[in-house]
Amino acid sequence: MSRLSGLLTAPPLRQTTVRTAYRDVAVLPYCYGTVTITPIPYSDDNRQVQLADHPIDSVISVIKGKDKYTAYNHVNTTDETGHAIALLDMFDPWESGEDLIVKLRGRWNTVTGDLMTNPADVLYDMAQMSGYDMTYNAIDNFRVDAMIGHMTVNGVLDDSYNRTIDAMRDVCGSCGAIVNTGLPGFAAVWPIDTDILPTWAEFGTLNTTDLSSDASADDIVTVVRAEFDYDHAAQKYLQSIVLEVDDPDIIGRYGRKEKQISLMWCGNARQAESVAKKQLQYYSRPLWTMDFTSHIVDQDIPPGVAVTVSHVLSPLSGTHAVSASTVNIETGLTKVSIESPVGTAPETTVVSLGAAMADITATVTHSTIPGEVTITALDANKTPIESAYITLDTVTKIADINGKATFTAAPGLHYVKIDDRQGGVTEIFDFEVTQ
Amino acid sequence: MSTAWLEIATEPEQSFFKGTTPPSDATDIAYGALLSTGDLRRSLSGEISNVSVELDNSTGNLTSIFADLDQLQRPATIWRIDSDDNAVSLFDGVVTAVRLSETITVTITP
Repeated sequence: MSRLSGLLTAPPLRQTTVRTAYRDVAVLPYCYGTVTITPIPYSDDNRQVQLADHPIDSVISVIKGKDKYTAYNHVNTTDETGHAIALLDMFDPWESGEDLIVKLRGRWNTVTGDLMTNPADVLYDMAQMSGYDMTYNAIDNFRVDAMIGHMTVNGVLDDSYNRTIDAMRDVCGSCGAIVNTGLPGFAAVWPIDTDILPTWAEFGTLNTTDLSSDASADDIVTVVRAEFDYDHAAQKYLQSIVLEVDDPDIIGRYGRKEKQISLMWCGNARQAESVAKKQLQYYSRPLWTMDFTSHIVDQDIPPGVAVTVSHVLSPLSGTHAVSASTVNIETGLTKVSIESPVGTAPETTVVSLGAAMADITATVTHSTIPGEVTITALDANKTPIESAYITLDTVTKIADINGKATFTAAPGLHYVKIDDRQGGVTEIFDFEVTQ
Repeated sequence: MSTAWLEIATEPEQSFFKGTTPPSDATDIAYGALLSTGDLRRSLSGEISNVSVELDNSTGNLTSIFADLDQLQRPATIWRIDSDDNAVSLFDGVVTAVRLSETITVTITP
């Protein structure tokens, strides 16, 4: 297998066929960051289930049936083949047809010992697994940029990916980055900042041919809707954020044109907003896509490098990142593509931020004290949301460690708002309080 | 010689005409760079196709005029002088695409 082919085939995940005790054929997943999954049955008595095909950091919560379940132990161990795995040992068996949902912290970084959430580390882990020849330090630039930019990824590598490179693209897309095996440094923050790159090549009238540029109003978007916080157990996104261009001239000229992006490996609202904002600022402006052919035979021009262009037929000038390059194998000439929006990036504004499917809910319990009620904020897995903002009519309180806050309220219908402070907000306009 | 010309409602408006003398009804800013206008096709169903206009950019003299893409999504009209010497609007639309090389192709969508 060549270096690249490992990324162009399915991730080499093990299947349950590696041991006879598994009941059903399934791919054994890798879990990165904090994820919510449905585990795979492991033992005959249904008291042991497999969480991941590697040791994991910890289990955060378990929902069994409809209720929170605590009679379990998380065990990092090895299976009969000697492979390291993560199991959940439960006191009660997993009944047929019963929901079993586990929220967990996944794989470690074997170099630092930390939970593996840096996208560069996840890319490196996937590359290693797939046999792609890359050193840990080869992706250092992106690793540092991701740390500085507080980029994190949370997700599951499973059989939903036909190619490892597709999983890598999802990882990068979820944190506002790009990955390309031809890119110096393998991955980079998008859009590429050409100010910090050395000039790879200079192109002008004398060393280019077939220069043409295209722009289309169809490519322009003025609203970006980003889905994020994917729940692998429920197989749906739990949250979404909508950003709109804060420029009446742009909206008036192009209308309200929405683009939806799915950030499967993004778990927090701040990062989702950052990615959506970058996309909106880039695609809400007219965009030139310029192609030309370099006259220099066998010139290596990888995507992502910075080149300068100065040509009477070029609407772009100065330094730009190469978005694609195509080598004609017969002639050795390279066709270079550059993409650049026109003008300055517009301001954007968040027009909607909240639970995608109203997954955040609230329950009420009554105290023995007349008129006193306790409201509990619950996430999609019915886990109490510690430190959530709970508003009853006009009074807002911070939930305790059990997701609870106590209010005084008369019987009747009330307004309740739950803000999980991670981007999820739910409003209930007819929250009933009885005697 | 045809007397058709293209007018784009940028600010200020721009016209592109054939030859060296702008039509008397053309806008103040006018360029003698029009090479050809595509056919205007109308079907029985009422559908009207896009029309493409080719401009001469062999010397790159229009590159800077289109570089900012101010023309994109602006109203555009193709005019022609009829036999009575009146300016007649043949086609109205908006500029939806621009291709820039030695010629500039402006796509107008009704």
